[in-house]
Amino acid sequence: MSTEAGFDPVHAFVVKGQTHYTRAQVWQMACSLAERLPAQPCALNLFEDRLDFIVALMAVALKGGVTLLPPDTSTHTLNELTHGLNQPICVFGESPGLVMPALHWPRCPLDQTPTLSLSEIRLEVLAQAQLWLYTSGTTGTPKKIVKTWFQMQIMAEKAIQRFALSAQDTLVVTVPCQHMYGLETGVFWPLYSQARLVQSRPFYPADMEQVISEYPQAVLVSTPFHLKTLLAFDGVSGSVKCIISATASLPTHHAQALAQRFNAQVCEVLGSTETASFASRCFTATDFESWHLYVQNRLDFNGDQVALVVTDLNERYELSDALSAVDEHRFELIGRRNDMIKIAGKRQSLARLNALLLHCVADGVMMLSPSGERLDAIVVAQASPQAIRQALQHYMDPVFVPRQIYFVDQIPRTKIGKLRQADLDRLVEACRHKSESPCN
Amino acid sequence: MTPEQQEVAQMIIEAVNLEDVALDDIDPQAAIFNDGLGLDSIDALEISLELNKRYGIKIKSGDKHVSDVFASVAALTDYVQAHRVQ
Repeated sequence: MSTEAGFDPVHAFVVKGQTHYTRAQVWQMACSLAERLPAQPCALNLFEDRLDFIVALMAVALKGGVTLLPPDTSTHTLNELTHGLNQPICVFGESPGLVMPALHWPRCPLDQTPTLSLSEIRLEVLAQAQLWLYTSGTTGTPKKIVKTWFQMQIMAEKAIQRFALSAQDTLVVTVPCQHMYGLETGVFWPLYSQARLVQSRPFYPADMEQVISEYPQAVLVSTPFHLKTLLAFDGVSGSVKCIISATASLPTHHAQALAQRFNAQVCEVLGSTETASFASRCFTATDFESWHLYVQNRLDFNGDQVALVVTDLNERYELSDALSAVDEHRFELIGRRNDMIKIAGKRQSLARLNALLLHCVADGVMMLSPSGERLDAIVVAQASPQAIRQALQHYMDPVFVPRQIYFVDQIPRTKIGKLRQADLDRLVEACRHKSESPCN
Repeated sequence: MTPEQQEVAQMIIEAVNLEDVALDDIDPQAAIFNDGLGLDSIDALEISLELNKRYGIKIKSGDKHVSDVFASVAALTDYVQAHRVQ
């Protein structure tokens, strides 16, 4: 375990305004906080500030504790996740309405007074500290995924190698730390590389514009949803070294526009809460190249099933994606295996069709019609149904072109651009109920 | 509502597509997010794009008073009048 990188006392780790903190300084703050925590704490880390989040995450890990990272901060979810825990919870951040007894830390004490020499940190305790993440609820109730600090570090080191992150790089991350994608890119990638992390989380396009101008040649980590709003915002330009996108596929026309506007390399990473990111691909002049596995990852094909084998962690994850191998290290993503649909004898992934749909409408989603024999679509678009169908013919087999097109003003996506099954179901029902005679 | 408030309320309705809300339903003093119109952070993003397009205003989360700006239609209208550049 290459721990030295994570304790680097020289290079900036977190940049907050004009202040730079090294990794050693941030660990020192964590040691100081850890001293005030109970043994083997169970913590809910809701901090939005990245430095606060990291210090609290480290402090709990130093005490061999567990940190819960909830998928959202609704009272219902927080109570659901903490129900049945047999010790008071350390709550970092605001959490009104929590039923379980808790020790509250609404703000993070950032005390740098040395309380412990870094050499006294028990690495074996840190390595085994647990992080509990939750899948985003596309199937109903959140499912707990347990990761150790050691696993997160090893996964991060692969990505660091892939993107060659170094002391010259500045990471700007728009994704919250409580999601796996944000946890990797906004905590573990900078911690175990020499890259520095910008503490703020740019949210509005104007925030992104400001941070892009403050940190030229940054590595911008974001989602297709946020990147789309960035493109829609007047006049944002500047120089970005690399734009990394995940959580859903980035339409190629957006990738192209981003590459041109910011003179940036545009990449996607592929992963899940279970696996963390395990592969990446880059946009070249007109399209994305094949997916490339990070080092010491391989795919194990067994009929329709594909497993990711992480050889250096000796772990195996069954994937819900349908993949086809290009060679030992590269593959194509056909779609989520569990959303393969069959229309008129032709198989296609709904995820793939949804991605294609976005070439023709501002936002949208496709679903099986009530008969199960055709597809319908719910879209955000100005064009007529006829024009949309015509445009879609260029992207897909005509059997997949939706027969009913419902127009809405917005698709109810989450903060990271996903569409939860329950929200989709409600939307579909509302459209079908409201529109006895749809607009076509 | 003043004509300026009506303009801002109409902009919100259009930006986030509040199909079921009529201009007259909006209380200019009521909260835009959560309890009032029930909008969320993605709506805030959409409204910020619209404010940029119509008035040249750039909303930043670093702005000290961003929650005050979005507090109500009345507050947002005051902000627009003070900061519009077009």
